Amino acid sequence: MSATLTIDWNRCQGHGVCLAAFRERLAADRWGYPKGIPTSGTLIPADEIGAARTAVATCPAAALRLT
Amino acid sequence: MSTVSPVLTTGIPGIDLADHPAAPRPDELRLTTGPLFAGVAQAGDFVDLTRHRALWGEQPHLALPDLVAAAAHAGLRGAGGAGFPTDRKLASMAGRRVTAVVVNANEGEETSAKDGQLLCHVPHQVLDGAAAVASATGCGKVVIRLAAERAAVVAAVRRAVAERTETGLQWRVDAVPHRFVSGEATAVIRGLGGDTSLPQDLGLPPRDPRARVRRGSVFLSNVETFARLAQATRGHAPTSALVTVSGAVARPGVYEVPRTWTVADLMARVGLLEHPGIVVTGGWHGAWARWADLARVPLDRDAFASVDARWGAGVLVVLPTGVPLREVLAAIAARLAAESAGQCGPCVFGLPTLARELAAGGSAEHAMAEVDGRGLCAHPSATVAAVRSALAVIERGDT
Repeated sequence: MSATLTIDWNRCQGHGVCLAAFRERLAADRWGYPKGIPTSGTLIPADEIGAARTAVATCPAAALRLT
Repeated sequence: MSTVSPVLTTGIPGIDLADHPAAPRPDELRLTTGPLFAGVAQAGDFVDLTRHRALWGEQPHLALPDLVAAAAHAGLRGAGGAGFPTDRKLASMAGRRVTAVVVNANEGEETSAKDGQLLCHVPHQVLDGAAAVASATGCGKVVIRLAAERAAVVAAVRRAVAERTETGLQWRVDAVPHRFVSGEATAVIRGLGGDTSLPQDLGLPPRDPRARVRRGSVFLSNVETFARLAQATRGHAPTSALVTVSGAVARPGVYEVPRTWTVADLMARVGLLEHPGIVVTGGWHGAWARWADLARVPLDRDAFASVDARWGAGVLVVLPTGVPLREVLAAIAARLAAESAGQCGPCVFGLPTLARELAAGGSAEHAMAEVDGRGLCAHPSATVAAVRSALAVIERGDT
């Protein structure tokens, strides 16, 4: 089962925790904000959902959602 | 104004991008040969409700499906910039509890002045359109949202609202401090709740599910769109184009002219100061076009699109020949960067970086890629699209 990862840009502060938790998918832009999550969200395949959940759970700003 | 560095000015009279003075809004009504400004003999005339009713009669009540059909028949599109089909927006209200009809009069695009001129001269054209939507959706409240700084517009709207006679319809004039993005639709809707007027994400589930139920739906559209809709309810399809012209022209201002006129026809009335090279179309968020490509194009959204120009908010800014185009572009990008709401990292950091790289003569391609599609309102992506269009035109040359 896949899921969609979205980001609330209003909350994201560029802490960078998600980048470490979800290296398969996310990388930092030059300001430290995660690249790889377009505004419409990005589809996460089943085998990456664990890492995505960790990223969501550890974000200090609670900016990520997995639906 | 004191002397400014030639490097940092566009050379456009009244538009000095470096010092960021009061908005260079070409706020003057110049010529009207169409229905929207009917009854206005000269700039400054106020068509009050009595005169408006004598010209147009009572606002007919249409049920929602009939209003949708009228908008579709007239081919109405949102006139704030995005051009969303008005009939589809209306149709999406079916079966919903509409808590407010919002007239978005922020006119955040500073190269546009048409909405303010409509409200100063013929406010009841606009208010009739809002009343039509309210009655079709069973909504009891109309909010006119506008920039507090534009005192003349606020005063005209208050005067017009005081004249309205609808029973069971509450009119509210909401004057808020201006920002470019305050006019962004989600920002206006958020502002209704008493929050600051900054964009928000309407796509995510609400944090408190009850909040959305309590709020219900809001119908929001641009000033001109409501005026066009009122015309459509009386069976009139749009025959005029409403254009704000500025830059290297003799008579900058707002023009209502037949939409069959070409850009060159209009400019013959506006008065070109010299043979033009490049015209910024649609607004700072719009597209750059070469005069050679644009001159023979009619004043029509689709015709503009066919030459990669953009109708947007009905804006034409004629760049003087000989201005350093890349510096003008960098200055415009800096202006748009300064208008970021400051909410989303890629916009906050990316747009100034983009502007700096343009100013330094770089391609800014990497910065644009890092900004495009990231953020919760359209501002960063629209800025990138505008910059790409400008760079393409500069690349081709202006003749």
